[in-house]
Amino acid sequence: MGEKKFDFAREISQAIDKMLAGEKAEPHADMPDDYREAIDFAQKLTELRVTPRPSFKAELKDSLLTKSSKMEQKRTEHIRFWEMLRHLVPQRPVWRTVAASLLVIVVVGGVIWGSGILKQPSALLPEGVPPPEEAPPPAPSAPRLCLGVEAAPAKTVYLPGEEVEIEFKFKNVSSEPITVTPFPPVIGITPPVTVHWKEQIIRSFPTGSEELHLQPGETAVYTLIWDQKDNSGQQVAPGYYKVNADIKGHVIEADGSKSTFGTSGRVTKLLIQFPQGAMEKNIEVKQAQTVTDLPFMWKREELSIDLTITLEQVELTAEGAKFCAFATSPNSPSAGYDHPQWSGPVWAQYTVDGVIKDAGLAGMRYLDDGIQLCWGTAGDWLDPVLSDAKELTFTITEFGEWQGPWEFHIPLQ
Amino acid sequence: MGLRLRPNKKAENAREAFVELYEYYLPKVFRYISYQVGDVHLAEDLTSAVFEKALTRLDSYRSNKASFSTWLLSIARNAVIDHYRVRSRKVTISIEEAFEVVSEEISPEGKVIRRDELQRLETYLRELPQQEREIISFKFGAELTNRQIAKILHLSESNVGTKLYRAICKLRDKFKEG
Repeated sequence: MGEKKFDFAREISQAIDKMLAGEKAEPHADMPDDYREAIDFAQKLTELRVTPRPSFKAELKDSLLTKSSKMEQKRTEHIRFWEMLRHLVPQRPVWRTVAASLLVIVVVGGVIWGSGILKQPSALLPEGVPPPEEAPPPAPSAPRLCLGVEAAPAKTVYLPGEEVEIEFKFKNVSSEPITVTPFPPVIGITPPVTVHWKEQIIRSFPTGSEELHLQPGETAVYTLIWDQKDNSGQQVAPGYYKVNADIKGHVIEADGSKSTFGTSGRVTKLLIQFPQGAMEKNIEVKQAQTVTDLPFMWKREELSIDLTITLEQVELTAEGAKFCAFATSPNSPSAGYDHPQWSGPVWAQYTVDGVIKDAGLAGMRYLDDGIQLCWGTAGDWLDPVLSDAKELTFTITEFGEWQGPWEFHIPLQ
Repeated sequence: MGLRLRPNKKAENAREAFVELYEYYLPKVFRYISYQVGDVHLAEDLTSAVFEKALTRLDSYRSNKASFSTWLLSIARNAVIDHYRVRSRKVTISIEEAFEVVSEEISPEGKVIRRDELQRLETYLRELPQQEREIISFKFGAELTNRQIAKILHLSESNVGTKLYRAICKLRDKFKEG
């Protein structure tokens, strides 16, 4: 009985992993009611999961990117300094001695100067007048939340040429009056997944010259109309599009001082559907591709392994495309797939009639005999495939630190 | 800095790679912390601190010692532990507030029901033993496998499965009673 209980507990865990990957979990036929109820409740817990606020997400991203750039700059300056120093040091021994002597003289001189021996008394200042104080450094401004931004299109699916209406709500969530400026803010449209991680703004809207003043708790609504055209006036291709906003402004503090704020990032997304419709098809692909001789660190030794990925299923609907694959290695030295080298991000792209689209990162689920990989799950669909598309190729470009490709040609007819 | 995580990425794509990783891991870290602290604003503060720490310590990350998610979630776990060590104050703002901004697609009635359920979940989570609460947070918040949870908590995988099942049953019973 104890063993059976363990098996069901394990099955429940696996069912939860499936739910979290956006799949349907089917309870085992022999499963007692108690366990079935547990699975049902786990489904409820999955649905009750919270998501970070978009404005928090965007602010933190900005802050981290700024920090990252500063760190990178510091690192570059550091390297440049040592490079410069290396070039300054003469290569010949005689000149090295001369340079070292000069350096000693400069250092000793600096120490003597710093000790104050050579300093004149502060006779220039009249008696009783204190020396001028150094200006205090500016106080660092603590990041805080002052503006809540929500945006939603009037509908989530549009046909090509239809006017897209996006409603923005700006709410002052601080306790002080705030001003959004410029208003309307910078708004841009980009494809949601980008080819080779290069984000491309296909349509940018001119910023306004006005200011939006909001009292604490006050909300203002702004409606943006997009004619589905790009910056060169051409109709954009069907697919998912995200709406990004870059919002700046200032807060008037209780003491009358002004501090600035800024937030940027994706605020909403929408789908432009193919006029002739999207392909709706479930394809059992079951194609396997193996890449051999991949480096695998095992007990401080570099071994070679093979990695076989089987593209199992492709689900094409009007909402988008979903790809599911299974990765396994016939000669991995580790038991199971718990080793850190199996946990790197897996990236893929797909090509529809010659047009490459990025599928982004895979959702991963670790099983005893391999790793399940899915793209376009959990509501984050990839662009739909045109109903009369002829060729579809799915390519896994990288698996953690291993380069592919694992390429699959999917029969559409 | 994302470059360090993905050595195959070209330097010019480091920023984009970092953004992708951030988008991927932020909800997991945020949810894990939300379950642990039950306060959305505190969860946001701690999540920010975790990502800032991860960014500055990225050079010390070794992919042959731990997976990136295990490494990042260990930083998150330590942040939560440190928070409770320093401040043992009672939390005042609940996780249900976070729902308000993410649920445009749910009807007003649905929102009320969900808010009530979130509030109850938060209360019941607090009543669970710390380890069970942590397992629920790792599973439903960070979406870790039992094996990954076992590694962080130094438990066996089967033990994690049993404790997870027990914690789910406790929460389910409390929901039924409530």
